[in-house]
Amino acid sequence: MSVLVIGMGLVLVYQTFLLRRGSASRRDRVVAFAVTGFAFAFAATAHYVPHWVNPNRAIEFVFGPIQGLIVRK
Amino acid sequence: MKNQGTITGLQLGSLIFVYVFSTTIAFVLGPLAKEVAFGGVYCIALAAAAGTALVTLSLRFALRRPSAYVGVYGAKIMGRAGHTAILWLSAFFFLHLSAHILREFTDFFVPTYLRETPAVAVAVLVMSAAASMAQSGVSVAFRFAQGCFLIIGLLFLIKPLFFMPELHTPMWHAFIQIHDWKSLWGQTYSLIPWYGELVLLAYIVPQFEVGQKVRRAVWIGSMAGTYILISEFVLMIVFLGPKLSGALLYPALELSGFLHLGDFVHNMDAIIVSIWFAGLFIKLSIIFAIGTLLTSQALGLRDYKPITFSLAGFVVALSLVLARYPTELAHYFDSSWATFALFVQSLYFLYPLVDRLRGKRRRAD
Repeated sequence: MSVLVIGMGLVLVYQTFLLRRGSASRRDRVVAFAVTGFAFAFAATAHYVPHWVNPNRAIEFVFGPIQGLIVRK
Repeated sequence: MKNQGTITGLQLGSLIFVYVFSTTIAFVLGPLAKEVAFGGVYCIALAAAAGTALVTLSLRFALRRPSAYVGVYGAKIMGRAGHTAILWLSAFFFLHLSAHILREFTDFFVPTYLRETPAVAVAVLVMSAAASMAQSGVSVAFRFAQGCFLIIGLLFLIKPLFFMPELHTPMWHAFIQIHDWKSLWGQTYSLIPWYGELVLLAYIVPQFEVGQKVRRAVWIGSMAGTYILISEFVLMIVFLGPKLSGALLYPALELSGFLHLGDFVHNMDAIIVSIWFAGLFIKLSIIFAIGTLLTSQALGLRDYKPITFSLAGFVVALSLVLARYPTELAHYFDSSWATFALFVQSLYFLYPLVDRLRGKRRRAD
């Protein structure tokens, strides 16, 4: 978890630098930081409860039966 | 994003050539041999034709407006809600695919060459490099592919020469018979979206240099890559046999273990894996770059660069949770990924369809 915090901290610093250099609008800054926040929240959730954030389960739930009909083994 | 328009036909063909076989050669040939044995050759050929046709059809619409991004003008065709939904689904698909490729690579590389190294460390290192390439721009991946494709292609072209004595076998007769039509259809269906992933090219049309014969480059690159795939598959089946090829986790790697170079290189698989990794890295970088671009367009951002490393972190985390172990990952992949991929890839075709229907309505009015 500490590695995640340090890593995301570095990403945040670099992101701030890029936004300043590109003279980004307020909206762009808010959205960019929100993406970093989402990535951090996702990674933290993945660390503690990985089965909650596994999209393959949802993909299999939706598309598995359809594929089963198309490709009958 | 600025319209740079620097990708040449050669760069495009090089990337597609490497893209087509880089992951398939390592991760798909084994299961293909297990399901259809000798019929795998037909699966690869049919999937190549169908998938490449899908891609060139998507480019036909995109090339009508060569200086505008579909991710930007698509809202005028589909309406904001529909367009945003397509962008989000497509972005998720490409980021999920990046995570999948990263996970497959760590599952292969860490137990084989880096035992006791945490997989997350390898994933972070690889993804940092891929994110840096994406940060530099989509055209950089194409230039990198142009630099690498000769070495990669040459390696896989000369590889069969090392196995010439083994190619004298009565097994060739089995290649002309189709034993199981159901399995042939199933595996062809699973392979088509691997080629269909190249629909990503339709989202970056303004990056292509003006006057390039884009669709021709796509076909040439795709067929050249397919030739490498088919030759590797045939080699694998003839040398290892269909049962052993299907039983091994990475049969192409096992095949490389039999290559020797004089007395000083007893095992060439380290050299081959190093060169092969360049191909995988190109594929990972371009898919991640497109995923990042589509995410930025869905969010309405002026520039995708500030969110590149954040999304790289997301992809690393995603790669770790996709499955508990390799067989579970393979199960998810076999049971539903092909349909999910085809669904997302065909979402792109809503743009030309709606555009045509609206055009007809305008003419009727």
